[in-house]
Amino acid sequence: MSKSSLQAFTRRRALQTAGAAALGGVIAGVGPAARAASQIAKQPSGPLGFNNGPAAGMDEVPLKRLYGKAPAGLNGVLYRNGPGHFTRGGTALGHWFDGDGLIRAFRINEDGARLSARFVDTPKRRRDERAGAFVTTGFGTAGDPDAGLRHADDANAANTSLLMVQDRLWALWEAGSPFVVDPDNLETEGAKTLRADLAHMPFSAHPKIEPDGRIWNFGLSFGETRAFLWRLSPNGAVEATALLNLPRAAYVHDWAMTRTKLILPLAPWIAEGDLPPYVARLRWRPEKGMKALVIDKDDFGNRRIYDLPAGFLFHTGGASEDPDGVIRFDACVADAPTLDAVDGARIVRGESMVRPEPVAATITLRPNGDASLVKTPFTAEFPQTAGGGRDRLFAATQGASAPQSSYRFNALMAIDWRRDDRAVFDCGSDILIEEHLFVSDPARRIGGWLVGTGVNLKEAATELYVFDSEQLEDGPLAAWRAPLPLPLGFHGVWRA
Amino acid sequence: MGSEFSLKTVGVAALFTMTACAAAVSSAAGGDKTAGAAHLALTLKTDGSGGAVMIALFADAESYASGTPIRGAQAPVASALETARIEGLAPGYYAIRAFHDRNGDGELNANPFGAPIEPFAFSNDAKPSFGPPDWEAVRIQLAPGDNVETLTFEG
Repeated sequence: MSKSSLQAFTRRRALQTAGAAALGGVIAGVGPAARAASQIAKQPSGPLGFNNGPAAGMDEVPLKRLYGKAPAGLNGVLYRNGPGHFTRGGTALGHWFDGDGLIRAFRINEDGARLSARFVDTPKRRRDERAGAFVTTGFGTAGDPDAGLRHADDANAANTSLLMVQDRLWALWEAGSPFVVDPDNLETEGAKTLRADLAHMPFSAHPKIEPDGRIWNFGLSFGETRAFLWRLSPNGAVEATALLNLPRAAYVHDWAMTRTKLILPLAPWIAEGDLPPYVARLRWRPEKGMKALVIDKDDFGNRRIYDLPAGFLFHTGGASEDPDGVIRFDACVADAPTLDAVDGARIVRGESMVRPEPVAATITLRPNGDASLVKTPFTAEFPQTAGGGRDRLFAATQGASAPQSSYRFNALMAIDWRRDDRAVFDCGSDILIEEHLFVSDPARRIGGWLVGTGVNLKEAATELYVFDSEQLEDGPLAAWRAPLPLPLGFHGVWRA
Repeated sequence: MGSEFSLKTVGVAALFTMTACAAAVSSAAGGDKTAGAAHLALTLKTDGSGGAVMIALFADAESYASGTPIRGAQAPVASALETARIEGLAPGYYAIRAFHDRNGDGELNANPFGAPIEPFAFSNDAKPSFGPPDWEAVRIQLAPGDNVETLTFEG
C-alpha cells in the first residue's frame, strides 16, 4: 500500500508548480466560482457528501487547478449522476437512493477543467418541490399515498447512472424509463418511451454494451419474481425483449455479460410482504444462499440457475467466458446488504454506523453446475474494468486512515488478476473517493486514465482527479477543485 | 398484491373488466327519462389523439370494487374536448372509471408488467393511491335533473 496521501501530494505538487500559470488559473476562476458558491447556502444543508445540490443547477464554471494538467489525449466530458436532494421542509429523505438525480458535467481539456450541473427535471422532482416535502414514494421513502402516482415514471428519480446513446444522455433509474438529457446544456427532454407498448417498463442502471454498440439491459418488477430483458440497437431502438421468471423476488442492481451469456446475480435479499417502501420489505435470508440466473443471449429460453454461498452485491466488475464454458465475473460482495432500510436513511443524516464491507470477489460458474464465490480481503466498490474484460479491476477502496464519514471509500485500487498484483493510492482521511472511470489512452496499447471525483471534507469542496491507470500509486496526474461541495454521486459516463 | 415500487397503481385487472362491461351495456344507455330522473353530462378532456373514451358507471361501492358497472358509454375522440351523456338514472351516488382507448382496440392496454399505457380517469378527479382510488374518493352525487362532471385523462 502506498504511503503517500493525496493531501501531502497536493502540497508537493502545488509547491512545484506555484508559478504564474497556476496563480493565473486560480484568479481566473474567482469570478464565476464566487457566483457558483453564492448559489448554495454558506452552510451545507446536510453532512458533506449528502448536502443538497444547487436547486437551480449551476452554470459552467472553471475549476481551480490544484496541480498537474490534463494529459495529452484526454479531452472530453465526465458526466456523473447521483442523488442530489436530501432535505425538504426540515425532513430528511428516507433513503440515499431516492434523491433527485443531479447531473454533473466535468469538461476536461488541455486548458483545464470546467463544471456545470443540473437536476433532471422529473415529475417526481416537480411534485416534491411543489409539496415542499418528499411525497413521492421510492426505494426507501414511504411518500404520501395520495401523491397521485399513475405509473413508475411518476416516481422516477433518474438518479443512478448515465448512458450515452448517439448524441443524447440517458439518465437511468431502476424502476422506470430513461430520462433523456441534452449533453451540452443538461436540459431534460423527458422520459424515453423505448416502444409504445413498453412505456414505463423498468430499464435499470447498469446496461451492458457489446463491442458493436448493442445495448443489453434488464428491469425488475420490484417485489415480484419477474424481470424484463432488453436488447437495443446502438442507436436505442428495441431489437429484442423477453419476460424472465426469477427463482426469487430478489433485489438486483447490476449484472454481468460474457460473449454468449447474461448473468443475473440473485442475492438472498428478498422482498416479502407488501408495505411500502420497497426496501423495508426486503429480508436478508443468508440461509438461502445466492443464486445466479444465466441466460443464453441467442436463445432467451435457454436458462440455467446456479447456487452460490450467501453474499450481497450491488456491483459487478468484468466478466469472461472460457472456450470450455466456464464463466467468471468479478463483484463487490459483502456478508450482508450494505445500504438497507436503516443504513440508507442514516447515511443521508450523517449518522455513524457500522456497515457490512464489500470486498473484491470473483464468482465462477462451471458447465458441470459447480459454482464458487472467492473473496479477496480488499474493500472495493464502484468497480471498473479496462474495456469490459476480466484482467483488471479498478475500484474505490478504504485506505489506511478511514474518513470521517459513513461513506467509507477514500482510496483507489487497481487489481491485476493475472499478475496477482495490487496497487493502491490512499487519499487520506479528508477525501471521500467516488467512482473513477477507466478511459483508454489511444496512444498506448494497454493502459489509460482513471477519471473521477471526490469530496474534500477539509476544504468542503468537490474535486476532480486524473490518475494514470498504470501508475496509480503515484497519485493523480492532475487535480482540480470545484467552488462548492456537491453531494456524492453514483455512476458516470465518459464522452470523448 | 402489487409492489408500490413498480407502481401498478391502478389495478389494471379491475380496469380491464370494465372494458367488456362498457361494451355490453352501452347499447342499453337511453334510459329513464321520467320526471325525477338524474342525467349526467360528461366533459372529456384528452390529448385529442383519436380513438375513443370508454366509460363505466357504478352505482355502489360493491359493484365499483368488483368492476360491475350498471351503465357504459363510449365517445369518439376527435378533439381534445369531447362530451358524453348518460340519462335516466336514479338520483344518488355513482362512480365513474374511464380510459382513453387511443388505438381503438377496445381495451385498456398495459405494459408487460401490467401498468396501464393508455390514459385513464376517475370521477371526482380522484387519483390512484397505490391502487385505484376507493369509493369514498370517486363517488359523486347525482341530483334529479341535469348534472355535470369533467373527466381529465392523464397517463
